[in-house]
Amino acid sequence: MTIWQALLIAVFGYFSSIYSPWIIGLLGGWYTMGRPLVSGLIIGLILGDVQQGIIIGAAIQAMYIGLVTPGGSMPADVNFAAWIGIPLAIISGADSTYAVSLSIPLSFLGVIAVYSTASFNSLFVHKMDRYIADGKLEKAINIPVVGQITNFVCRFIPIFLANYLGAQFVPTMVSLIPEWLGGILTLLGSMLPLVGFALLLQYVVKKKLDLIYYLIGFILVAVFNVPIIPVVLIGLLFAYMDMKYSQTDLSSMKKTNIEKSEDKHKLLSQKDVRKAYWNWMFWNLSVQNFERMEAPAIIRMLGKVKEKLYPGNKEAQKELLTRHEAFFNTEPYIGSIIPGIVLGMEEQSAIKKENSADLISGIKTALMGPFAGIGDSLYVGTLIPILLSIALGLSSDSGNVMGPIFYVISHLGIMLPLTWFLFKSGYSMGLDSAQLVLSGGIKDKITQALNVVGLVVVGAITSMYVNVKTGLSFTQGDMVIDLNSTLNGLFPNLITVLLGLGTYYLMAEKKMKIGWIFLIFIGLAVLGYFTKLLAV
Amino acid sequence: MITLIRVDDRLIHGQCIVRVLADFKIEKIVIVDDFTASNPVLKNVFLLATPPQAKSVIFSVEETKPNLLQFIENNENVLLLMRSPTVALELFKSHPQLKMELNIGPISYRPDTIKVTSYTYLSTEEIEAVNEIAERRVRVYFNQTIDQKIIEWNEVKNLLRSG
Repeated sequence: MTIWQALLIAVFGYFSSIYSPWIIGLLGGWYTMGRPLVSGLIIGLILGDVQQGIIIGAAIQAMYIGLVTPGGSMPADVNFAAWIGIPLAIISGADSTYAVSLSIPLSFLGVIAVYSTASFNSLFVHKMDRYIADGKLEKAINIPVVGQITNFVCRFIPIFLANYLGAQFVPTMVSLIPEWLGGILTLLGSMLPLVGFALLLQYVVKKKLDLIYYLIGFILVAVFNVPIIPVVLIGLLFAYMDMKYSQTDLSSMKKTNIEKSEDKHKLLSQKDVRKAYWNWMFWNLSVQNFERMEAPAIIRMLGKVKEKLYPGNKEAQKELLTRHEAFFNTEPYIGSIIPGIVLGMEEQSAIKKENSADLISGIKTALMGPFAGIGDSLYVGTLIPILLSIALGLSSDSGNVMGPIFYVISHLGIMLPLTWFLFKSGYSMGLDSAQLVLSGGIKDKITQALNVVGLVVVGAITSMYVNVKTGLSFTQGDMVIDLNSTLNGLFPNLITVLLGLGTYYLMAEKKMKIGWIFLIFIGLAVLGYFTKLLAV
Repeated sequence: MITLIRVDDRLIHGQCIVRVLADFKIEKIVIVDDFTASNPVLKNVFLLATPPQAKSVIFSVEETKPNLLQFIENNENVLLLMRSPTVALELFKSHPQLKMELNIGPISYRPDTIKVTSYTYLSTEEIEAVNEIAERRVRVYFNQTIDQKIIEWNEVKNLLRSG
């Protein structure tokens, strides 16, 4: 690896980390380029081996597909796993299953980076408070930009050093791995995606009967070898039937429109509203800190239009920013309706010259919870993993580039218009918009449909990505009976589906922590390898 | 039956919906909050934001008192949810038959608060309330989601005094 390649990987790795603002915040960064499948494509382009990049990226992606991280509780971080694990695996010529095994320690290192960044950044927030108090408002609204330095240091430097220095000795290390250890790592790496799939099932399965959809998806691939696109179509058909025959009443979706008062006085032009929107979209987690979370981004958004709200009135501008210093935290993208509402309410309060500070902060605080809940479960916990599952299905055929391309286009194609719609509705309709977008049970119906499609797709990719066999055979007279083909005669890929359901059972029913699950898998790999009970 | 009494200043949010409801198999959420209960549109937003597997009811503190007994006695798994320990204290006082355990989740920073755990900030008044709750022999513990470490009030209260 040349120093330029290592630098490029570190730049893109930093862009893809959770708190990097540069590619429309998390939307283009963490949730797009930061998904190991997409990272694999970019790393492959930099290192000149796209196919291998996607194959390894897909393997790591499969394991982390169910990683949902609500409210700053962070069990593992895929940034180092992808941006250090994938390039080093490519240049070592290592198998993708090695990369998956080695990504686990890297993902725990990534968590340290998250916690150090968010702890250190409190300093910047205190600086912001002081700037506002001293009337240095421009400096205050630039805190999200300045504070980004912490994230840069915690991401760019480790990724660069690990790649540049690692490239010197990791290939030698990989070639020195003894056969037995290699065998165990391969077995472990090929089983680990089951942990990711089980994590995802845990979020998606609402009642145990839903597991039927998972089995149907699995059978479609294991028995009938159906490619992913027909699998999605079959999933959609099941979703349609599920909605049709369940109790939900679709007629309530026709909800009367809430009147828009067109003759409201305006201080902000369409351009100002867009400016506020983009500032929210880019900077929401840039200076993430445990103390105030996303408050600096609200201040930046309002600071960008403060001259329009209170022209020439420095005191009023200062008060405006001061009252938004308080803690604010929501899922930034489905929750983009809230900064929209705040912007609209602040505009009205500036027009009517009345002090509605308490009402605005009350509503802002009240809404951040519900929208974090919806955003984390519907967007982060459902939409992203399902689009990724489909993408994994598309790439399962030896690193096909269609997978990452499908994911990038579908994810941004849904989320950019949706976030603008939410922000705009919040701005123009205020609190009523929150009621409107939730009314008619639209959210519940989308969730229900996505869950059914998701279960079928996850079942399908389980069979595409995991194929655990047994190496046992019996000799009966002159005949050698291969246990594996006997089992496959009963049910193709039976061991995989049993292991998958078993992992789900341990997580969902036994509440076993993820660290223990990893240990069990390591144990299974060691035991399976030496007894030949399990094989790849 | 009240399965969990939790103080969490964002009430229903990501952790709550994704983890807590599933971990405790919650079927009903009783939200005790004066501000939310006083604003009909906001109240609606909370009801609509509740995921389909659970139902929410929203009461002010005063409205809660006459209604609480039915949730203690029914067969559903109920989550009793409020923003502040001061509200919890009031309910423990009015209903001695409540489950003797209080889970404190995330409570955000405000001016004049003290950091008690990495995710909980309490004002002096709130610390008083927690002390009073603990003196009523209620087990008070800090925990965001069950896969994370539990911190007992007994472990931190002495640190607060000396600090």
